[in-house]
Amino acid sequence: MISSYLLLAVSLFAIGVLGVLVRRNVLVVLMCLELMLNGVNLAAVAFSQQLQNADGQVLVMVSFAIAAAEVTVGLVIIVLLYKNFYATATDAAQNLNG
Amino acid sequence: MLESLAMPVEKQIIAALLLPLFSAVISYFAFNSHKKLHVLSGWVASASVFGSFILFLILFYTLRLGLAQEVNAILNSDLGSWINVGLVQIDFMLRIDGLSAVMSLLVTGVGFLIHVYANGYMAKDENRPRFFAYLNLFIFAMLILVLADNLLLLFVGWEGVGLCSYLLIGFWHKDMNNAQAGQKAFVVNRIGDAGFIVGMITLFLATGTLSFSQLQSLAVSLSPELVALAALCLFIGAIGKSAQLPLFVWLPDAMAGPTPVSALIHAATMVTAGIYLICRLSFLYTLAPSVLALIAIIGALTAFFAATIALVQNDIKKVLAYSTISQLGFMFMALGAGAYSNAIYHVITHAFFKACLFMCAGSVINACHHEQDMRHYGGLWKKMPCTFACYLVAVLAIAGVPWTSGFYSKDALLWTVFSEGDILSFLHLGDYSLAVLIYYLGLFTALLTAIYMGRSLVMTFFGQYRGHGEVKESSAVMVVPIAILASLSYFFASRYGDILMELLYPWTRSDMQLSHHLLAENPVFKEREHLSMFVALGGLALALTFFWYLPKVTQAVAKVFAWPHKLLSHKYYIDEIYNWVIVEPLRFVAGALFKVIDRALIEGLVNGSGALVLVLSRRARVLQSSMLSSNVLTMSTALILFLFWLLW
Amino acid sequence: MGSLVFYILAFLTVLSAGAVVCLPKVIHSAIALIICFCLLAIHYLFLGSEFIAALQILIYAGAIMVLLVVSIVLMGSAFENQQEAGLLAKVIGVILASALLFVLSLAVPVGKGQFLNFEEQATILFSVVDIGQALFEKYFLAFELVGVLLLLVTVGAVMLLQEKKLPLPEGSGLRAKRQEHAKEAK
Repeated sequence: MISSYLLLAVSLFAIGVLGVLVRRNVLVVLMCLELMLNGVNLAAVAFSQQLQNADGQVLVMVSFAIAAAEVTVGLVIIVLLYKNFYATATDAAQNLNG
Repeated sequence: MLESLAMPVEKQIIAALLLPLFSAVISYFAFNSHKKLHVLSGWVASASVFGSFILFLILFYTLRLGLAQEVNAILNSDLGSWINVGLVQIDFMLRIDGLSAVMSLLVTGVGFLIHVYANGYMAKDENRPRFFAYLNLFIFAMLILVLADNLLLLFVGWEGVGLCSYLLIGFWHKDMNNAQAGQKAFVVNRIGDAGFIVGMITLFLATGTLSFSQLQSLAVSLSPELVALAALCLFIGAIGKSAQLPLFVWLPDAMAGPTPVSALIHAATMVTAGIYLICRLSFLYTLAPSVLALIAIIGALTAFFAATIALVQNDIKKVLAYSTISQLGFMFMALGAGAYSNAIYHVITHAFFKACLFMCAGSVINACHHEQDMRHYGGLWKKMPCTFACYLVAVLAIAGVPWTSGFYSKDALLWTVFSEGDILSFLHLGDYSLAVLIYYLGLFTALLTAIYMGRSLVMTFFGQYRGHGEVKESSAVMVVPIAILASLSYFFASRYGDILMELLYPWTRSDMQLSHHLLAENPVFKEREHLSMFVALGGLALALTFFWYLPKVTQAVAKVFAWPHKLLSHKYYIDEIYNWVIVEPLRFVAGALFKVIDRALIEGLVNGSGALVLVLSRRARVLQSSMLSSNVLTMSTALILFLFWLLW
Repeated sequence: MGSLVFYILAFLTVLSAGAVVCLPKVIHSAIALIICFCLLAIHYLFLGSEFIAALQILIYAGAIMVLLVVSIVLMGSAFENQQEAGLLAKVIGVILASALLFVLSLAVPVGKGQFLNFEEQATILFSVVDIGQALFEKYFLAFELVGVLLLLVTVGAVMLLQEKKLPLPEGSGLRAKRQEHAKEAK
């Protein structure tokens, strides 16, 4: 029944993408990024189960670590954004206009 | 024997040719800088032309020695290959034969005298070095024209003299009229040059060569139509350069230049280039009798029309200009009758007396504080005796009074048209052949010549002084060359006429006997000679009567014939006609082209492409926004498309 | 029986994920995400990965979400005048997301091969020993690099958040500007 898990993972990913595209709040965007990552993790674990291989599990562990690191740095950037522009909208900083 | 002299001869020719060029370059670049050096330019210029003259004299004697042995001796100088592309092979080849020896001596001799004269005439002008540079450049170009052994090199000289004419006419270019006169000369000349080029191309395509010697041997093998076409096109070039109908309009305007320029270029040398060309190609023209008939007709008509205009002109230089056109018409008449050597004879004598006339006029103009209108002259024979004497001699020569050089040359010319004009006899008008008609027209024109020259003499030198200011004789540096030329125009023909004819033998028709002494036996000739004498003296007498003794009668007659007088003094309105028919339509077309093609089309394209880039870039700039969401949108779209491509 | 549980769980997961995206208030989205993570942990249990499930709760729900919730609380004042996207953006987003869903579902193999059903699945477990062996033998480099990464992130985060005063060049007038700015901020 792996396809069900994969479909679930794909749905989570798609919902994450939807969130990134639609929401204008930076923190919500960050949360949707986490959602996408979790979708991928789920797919990796499902494959690991199908193939009876521990490699998928290792991937997921590394993914956890990276996700944590990413959230940290992302939050730092958001805090700096907030301090400089006093806003948390994605379109707040427009200095690099073309 | 000629070969043993070959090495020095080549070097002599090259030296004689390059000396004026060298002096021109020095004058323009070195002497222009300091005011003190300006005087030097005149001396250096005159000296270089004199040096050329001496060299040519030596070459002339060398040639005579050679001619004593064989009739068709020539001295050649090959300066190397010029164009060497496939079938086209043209060299820098110079030749000295009878014709070019005579012409080069004329150019450098008269040129030297005019240079000396110009030293005095342009003494107060601050642009003297430039003037002498241009004058020397002209001598150089004219020598190339005369010494060239092929048509293309001749054309180089042809264009060179045209350029110098333009530069010198518009010498005082700050005045717009002078500049426009120069431009008019150049443009009208160019029209003739178009014909010249077409003729050159025709000959080249037909024979594959442009060298005179080769063309001479190949000419008989060409079809008559081709020969006639080439001859006609080259004649069109001569019309432009030698100011015949209908391209003579530039010569009167060219009088805007300094008088030495008028004397040298527009009397003695450049305008005779057309005649020289036709003589050079005499072998071609003898094969095209129809073109010769056309040449004679145009020459006669030009002579007549110009003489009629000269009758009523009041500017002394304009009288002399129209006189030049008229005399050139005479020369073309002779060419049309096949008397090439006679035409050259008249070229030489004409150079002497016309240059003398122009220089006298310049002397008078200088003395009367730049006044050119003859109505403000008068009584100058007392104040400028030397100038008066020279002018008198020259007027006698141009009228054809017996025993002057002008008499001998004009007489021989009219005689050949009358008697040997069988070239023209295929055309008839009633009982008279065309040759005879042309002869009588020429005779009448000679009468007119005597009348208008006498008029100018009377108006300038006799009677009471009608001008302002003090007048005194010009300096020696101006008078001596005039005197030399005047004496030449008196005794040249009687002393050197035979030598001249001997040199020009290849250009005489075998059945023409031109030695005056031999001809004197012929009773018909005697008759014609008496008629010419009568015409010359009668014309001068008429002039004296009407313009000196009976001026009031003349003025009354002028009032009666008011509209012919007006027509003539406005030169048949030819400038106005040309302006209306040719210049204005051209200007209109040029303006239309400018507005439509240049402004709308080309600038539209250029500016339009710039504007297009601006518009496109403005739209494209939107892509780079600083909005995070739009960037994310772009990225996800790309991702989706990529995945689609991958997974489909 | 097992599949029914799976479908309920899957439905709830997708629902909570949708709630993250759709709920207007940020804090509500955060809570929905926590719920989603917990549900995913249950999914991992079903897939025989106990260790991963535990880690999921610990790291995601326990550390990452805590961070996020704290920052939401700290920056609460900025969310008042939050401008959301217009209708056009939402429509485009939905279209793109569904396009992505469609494209990715092309990669999912449907009905191929013999897979275990849910009951049998849960009996196959991945022991910590297995994972440890894979991690420390096969993917040792990845393990070390992750360590380095975490160190870098720690240092970097601390560095970025410092309020350093940069040395200003003399006579440029920037020092006065800085003081003015500081006064305004107060």
